[in-house]
Amino acid sequence: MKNRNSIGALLALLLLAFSSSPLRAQGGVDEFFTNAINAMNQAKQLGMPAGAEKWNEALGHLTEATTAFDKRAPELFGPKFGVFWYNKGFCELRLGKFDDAAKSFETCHTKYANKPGATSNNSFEKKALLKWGEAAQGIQQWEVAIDKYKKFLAERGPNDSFPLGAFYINLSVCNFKAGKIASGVENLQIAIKNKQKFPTPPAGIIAGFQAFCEAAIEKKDEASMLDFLKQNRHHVTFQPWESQPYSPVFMTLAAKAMQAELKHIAFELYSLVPSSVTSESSLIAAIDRLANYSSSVPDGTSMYNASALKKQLDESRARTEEGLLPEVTALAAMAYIHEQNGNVRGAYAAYEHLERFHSDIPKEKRENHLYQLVRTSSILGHILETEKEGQKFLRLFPGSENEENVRSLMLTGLFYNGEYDLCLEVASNMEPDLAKHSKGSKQHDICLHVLGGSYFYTGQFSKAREYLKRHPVEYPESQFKVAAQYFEAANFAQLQAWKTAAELLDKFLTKFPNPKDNSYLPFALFDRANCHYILEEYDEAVERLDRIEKEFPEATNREMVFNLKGNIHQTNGENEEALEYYTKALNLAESKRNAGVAGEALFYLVASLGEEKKGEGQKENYTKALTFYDKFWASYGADSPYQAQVAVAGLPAMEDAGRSEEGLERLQGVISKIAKQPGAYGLEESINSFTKFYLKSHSEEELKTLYYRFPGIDREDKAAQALLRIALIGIFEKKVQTATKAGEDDQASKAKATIQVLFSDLKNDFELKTLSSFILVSVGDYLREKTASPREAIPYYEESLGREDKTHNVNAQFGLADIYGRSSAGGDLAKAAKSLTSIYETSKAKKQKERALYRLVEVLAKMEQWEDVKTRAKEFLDVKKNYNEFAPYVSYTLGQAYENSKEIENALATYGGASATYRGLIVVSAPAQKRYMELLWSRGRAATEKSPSDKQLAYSLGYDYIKQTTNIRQNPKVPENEKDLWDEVAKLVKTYSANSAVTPIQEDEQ
Amino acid sequence: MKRFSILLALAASSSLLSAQDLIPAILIKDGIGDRVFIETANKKTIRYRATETTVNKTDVSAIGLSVFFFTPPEFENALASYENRNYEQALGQFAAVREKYKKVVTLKGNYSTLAGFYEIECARKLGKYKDIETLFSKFKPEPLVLESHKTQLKFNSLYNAVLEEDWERLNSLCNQWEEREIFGSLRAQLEYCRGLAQEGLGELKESLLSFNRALIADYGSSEVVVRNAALSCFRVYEQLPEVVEARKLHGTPDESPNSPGAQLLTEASALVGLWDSALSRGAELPAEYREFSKY
Repeated sequence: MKNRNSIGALLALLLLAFSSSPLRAQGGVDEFFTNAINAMNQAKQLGMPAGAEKWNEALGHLTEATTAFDKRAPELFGPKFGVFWYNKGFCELRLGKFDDAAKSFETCHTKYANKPGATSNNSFEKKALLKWGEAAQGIQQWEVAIDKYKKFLAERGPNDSFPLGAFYINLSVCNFKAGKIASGVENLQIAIKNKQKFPTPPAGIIAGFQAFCEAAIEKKDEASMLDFLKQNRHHVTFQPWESQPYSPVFMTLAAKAMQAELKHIAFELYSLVPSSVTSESSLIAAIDRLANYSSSVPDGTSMYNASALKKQLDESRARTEEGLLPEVTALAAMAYIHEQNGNVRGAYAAYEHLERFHSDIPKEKRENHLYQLVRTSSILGHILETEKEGQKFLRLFPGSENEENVRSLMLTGLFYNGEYDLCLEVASNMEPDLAKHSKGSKQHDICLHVLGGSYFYTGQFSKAREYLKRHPVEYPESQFKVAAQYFEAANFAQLQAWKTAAELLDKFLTKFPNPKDNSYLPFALFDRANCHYILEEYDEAVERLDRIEKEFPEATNREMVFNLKGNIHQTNGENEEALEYYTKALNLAESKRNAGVAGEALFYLVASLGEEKKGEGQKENYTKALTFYDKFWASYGADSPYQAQVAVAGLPAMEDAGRSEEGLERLQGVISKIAKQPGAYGLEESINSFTKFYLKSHSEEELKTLYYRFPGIDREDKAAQALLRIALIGIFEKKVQTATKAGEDDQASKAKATIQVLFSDLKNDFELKTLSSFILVSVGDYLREKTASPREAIPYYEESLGREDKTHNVNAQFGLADIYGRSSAGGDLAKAAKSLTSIYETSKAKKQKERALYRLVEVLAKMEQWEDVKTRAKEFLDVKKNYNEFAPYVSYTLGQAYENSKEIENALATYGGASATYRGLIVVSAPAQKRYMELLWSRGRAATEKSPSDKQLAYSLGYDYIKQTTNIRQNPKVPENEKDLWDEVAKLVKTYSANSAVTPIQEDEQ
Repeated sequence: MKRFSILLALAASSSLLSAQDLIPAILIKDGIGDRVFIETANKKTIRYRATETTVNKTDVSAIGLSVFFFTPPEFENALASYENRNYEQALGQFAAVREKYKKVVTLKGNYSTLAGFYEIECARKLGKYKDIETLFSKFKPEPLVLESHKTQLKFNSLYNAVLEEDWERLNSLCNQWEEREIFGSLRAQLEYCRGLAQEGLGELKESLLSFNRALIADYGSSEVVVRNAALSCFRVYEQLPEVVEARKLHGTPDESPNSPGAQLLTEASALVGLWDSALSRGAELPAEYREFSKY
C-alpha cells in the first residue's frame, strides 16, 4: 500500500514536471513523455504482476527517448532531461532490471547533475541516488548501495521526501549483507524505534531482522543477536495472527542457526513462531473484534481488515488440514537439539508430544516421528513404551524402511534392560516366522541373539543351547558375534558340559583376543578357569585367573576370580592362600556392594575355617569361622542363596562355641524358609545336617516330635514336611541296624515299629495329590534308594507320571523301572525293561541314557533274555558311546550272557577282560575271576608246548589275582560282601592247588 | 451517530474529562462502525464523544454493539516490557493500564481487563504465586477475547496447589487436564506442575520425564517454564539415588559407565550444555548444578 502510494506521488510529480516543461515544445520528446506517463499510470493501476506489460511499454517509450536524444539532451534540455533517465530507471526497478536501473539512475545523477546557472533543473538528481542504491541492492552490490544511500542522506534537498522506514531498513539490510553487523543494527534500530513515526511496517522490520539473523548466523555472532533481542524482542513479536505469515522466515532462520550450532538463536527464533492453533485462535479473535466491519482499521502498526483476516484464517486452516504445521517442524527441531546435546529424554518427550498431539500430519513425517519415538524410548529403557509404540509402528507402516529397525529396537531395548522374560515372550513368537521368511535379515540375527541371551540369563541353559548354537553359524558376521560366541561357550559351562565349554571358550579366546573388541574377555577367561578347575587342571586355571588379575584391573568379575582362586588353593591344600583369596573376594565384593559374591565368600570362609575336625589350632579357626558366620547373618543372610550352606557349615563351630542351640535354631529357620521355595537348593542337605547335630543332644523321639511340628513349616509346605518324615525314617532305619548289630533286639523292633508308623503317617498325612511333581519324585527317590522299602516309592512315581507337568517324568520313569527291575516277578521285570528302553531311546541326557542302558542290561539278565543282554551290553560297551560309569558291571553281565548262551570262548575272554581291567573293583573282578577260572577248569584243555593246561592256567591266574589283591582282606574300607566275593576266589585257588592236575606255585618261585 | 439508537444526547457546558482520558474506539453495529472517544461505559450503556474536542456526550446502548478498542500506547509500552521479558517493569505498567482504562472494564476486548490478565501473567512468570491469588481474586475475566487467556486463568488453581505444596492435589489437578486439548504454553505449564507434584510425591524418575516434557511442549517459547523445568531436572538428578551413587563412584575403579546412575549423570551433564547453549536465556546456572558438567 505504501509503495503504491509513493509510486502515485512520483508519477504525479513527473506529470507536473513535464506538463510545465519546455520539453513539450520539443516534438517527439513530448510524445515519448506523454506515452510513458500514461503507461506508468496504467501500470500503477494494475499493480504487479499484471502491470508488468505497461511498465515495459513505458520503459520502451523512455528508452526510445533516451536513445534518440541523450547525446544532444544536455545542450537541448539541460539537466532537466535527467528526469527521463530517472523515470526509465524507475520502470527498470519495477521490472527487476536492476543493472539497467542502476545505470539509468547513475546517468540521471551524474550526466544530468544540476549546475549553477543552468536554465533547467533536474529535480531527481538526488533522488536518483536513493534509487541507485535500491538498484545496487537489487544486484547485491551492498557497498555501492550503502554508499549511494549515505550520499543521498547527506546531499538530499528539502523536497526530496522518501519513505524513512523502508530507507533505514534497506540501509540496515545492505550493511548486514556486507557483514557490517554493528552498522546494520544501528540502522535497523533507527527504523524500529521510529516505526510509528516513519512509519516502518512489520514487513520491513522482519526483512531487516532476517538480514540481521543471516549475518549473525554466518559470522556466528550469537552475542550481538541475543543483545539485540534483549532490547528489541517486542519489535519482532507481533500478535500471533500478524506473526503467522513470517513463520516460514523464522523457521528457515532457526534451521540455519541450528546448523551453525547457535542453539540460543535457534530457540529464540522458534519462540517467535506461533503455533497454528495460536494463530488461528488469534485470527478468530481479531475477526470477532471487527464484528463484520468491512473497512480496514489501522491500529498502531497493525492493520485490521476483516476480509484479509478471513482469507488468512481459511489458508491457515487449509494448511492445518494438510498437517503443515510450524509447531511440528519446531518440535522435531527441539528433539534434534536435545538429542544432539545428549539429552535423549528431552528428545523422547518431543517425539512423544508429536505422536500424541500431531499424528494427523503427512504420513512420512509421522512415520519418522513414531520411529524416533520407538528409538528414543528404547534408549531410555522405557520398555513398555517401546513395545507399544513399536507395535503401532509396525501396524501403521508395514514395509517401512525402518520396520526392521523397530523390531530390533523393541527386542534390544527389552534385552539390554534385562527384561529377559518379556524378550522370550516376544522373540519366541517372532523367531519361527523370521526363520521362514526373513532368514539372513538383521532382524533374525537380533532375534536369535536375544533368544539365546535371554534363555542364558534366565538360567534356562538347555533351551539357550539351540539358539546359541545356531546364531554364530547362521550369522557369523553378526554385530553380536562376540557376544553370541561367548554366550554359546558360557552356556555349556552353565550346563556343566565342561569339556565342550572348554573347547568353545578356547576357540573364543583365540578368535577374539583383543580386549578392545571383546568386552567379554575377562568373563571368558573366568569361565575357562572354572572349566580347568572342574577338570582338575589347577595350574591352567590359575594361569587364566592370573591374567584377569593382571590384565583386567577393572573387570567386574574380579571378586568371583578371587573366590575361584581361593577354591583352587583349598583343593591344593593351601589353606592359608585360600583364606587370603576368600578374604580378598569378600572385601572387594563388599566395596562393590555385590551381596551375592560377598555371601559366597563368607560361605567359603565359614566352610574352610569351620570344618568339623580336631587338632591344633582348630579352636582358633572355629572362632574365626564364627566371625564370618555372624557377619553373614548380620549382612547377607536375608537374601543370600548360601543361607543353607552357611547354616550347615557353621554348625561345628557353633557347637564348639556352645552355641549349638542357636546354630540349630538358625538352620531350622533356614529350613522353614527354603521349604517355601519350590526346588530350592540345599533343603535335603540342611535337614540331614540338622538331624545329625540335633541328635547330638536330643533323642530320636525328641527329633520325631520336632519334625512332626517343625517351627516355621506350616501344613502347606508339603515338600519340607515330607523330607522331614523321610529323614526320620532314615534315622530309625539306622537305629534298626545299630541295635541289631549290638544285639538289642527290643530296640531294633521298636525302631522297626516306628518306621512302620512313619511310613503309614507319610501316606496318610500327605495326600499324593497335594505334593508337587518335584517332591513326589524326591520322596520316591529317597524311599527307593535309601530305605529298605523301595516299593513304597511306586505310588509317588505313578502320581508324578500322571501329571500334566512332564518335567520330572524321566526321573519318575527311571525310579519305577529301577524298583520293578529289582523284583523277581516276570511282569515287573518286563515293565522295567519297557520303561528303561523308552528312557534310553528318548532321553537326550547322556548320563540318563547311560544309566538306563545299564539298568536295562541288568533287568534283561535277570529275565535271562541273554540274546538281548548281549546286544544291549555290546551297545553299552561300544567305545564311541563313551559310557564309563557302569562299564565293569556291564562287562561282567556280558560274560554271563555268553556263558548262558554257551559261547564259552567269548565268555572266557569277557570274564578275563573284566577281571584284568577292573581288578581293583572287587565286586566285579572277583566274580569274573571266579567264573573265568571255573570255565577254564571245566574246559580242561591239556597243556601244549606253548601254553599250560587249562587247569594249571585257572589255578595260576587265580593265584595271581589273590596275590595282587591280597590287601583287600585287611582293608577296613572294603565292604564285607566284597571280601566274601574275594574269599570265594581264594578258596577256589586253594581247592585247585590241591588237585593233582595242578602244580602249586611255590613262594620261592615267585 | 445517527446509526446508533441514541438514548441520550447531552450538551454539556464543560467536561471534567480531558482528551487524554477519552478512549478511542470504533463502535460497530451491523457491520457499520463509527470512530468515537469513549468517556465511560457499563454493561448497558456506553457514553462517548464524537471527537476529542467536543463537549457533547452521547449515551448509546451497549447491547448488540461491538467495540473495537485501539491499542493504548501505555499498553503497547507495557507489552513491550513483557515481550522483552522485563516482567517486574511490565507488572507495574500493566497495573497502571488496568487502572486507567477501568471505566470500560465491562466491555468485551477492553484493555483494562487485558492488562489485568497480563498483570497476573507477570506474577506467574516472576514466580509470585501468592500475588496471582491476590490479583485473580478481584479479576473479572469475561471481557477477555482469546480462549488461551481464559484457559490460562483456569490454571491458577494449579499454582495455588504449587504455592501450598499440596502435591496430591496438584497431581490430581494435572490429571484432570491431561486429556484436554490445550495450547502449547499451557501444556508446558501442565507438565512443569506435574513434575513438581511427582517430585513432591517422591516419584523422581517420573518427574524427570514431566520436566523434560515441559522443556519441549511449546518448543521452548515459554522461557520461564523452560528455565524452571531445567532447574527442576537438576534438582531431581541430585536426589536420584542412582545418580548419588554414580557420583560417588565417579573416577574410582568401581565406576560403572553403563550403570543407570552413570547414564543419568551423562544426561545431567548434557543438560548443563543445553542450559548454556539454549535454555538459560541469560540466566546463571547455580554452581552446584554446574558440577554436573564434569561427568
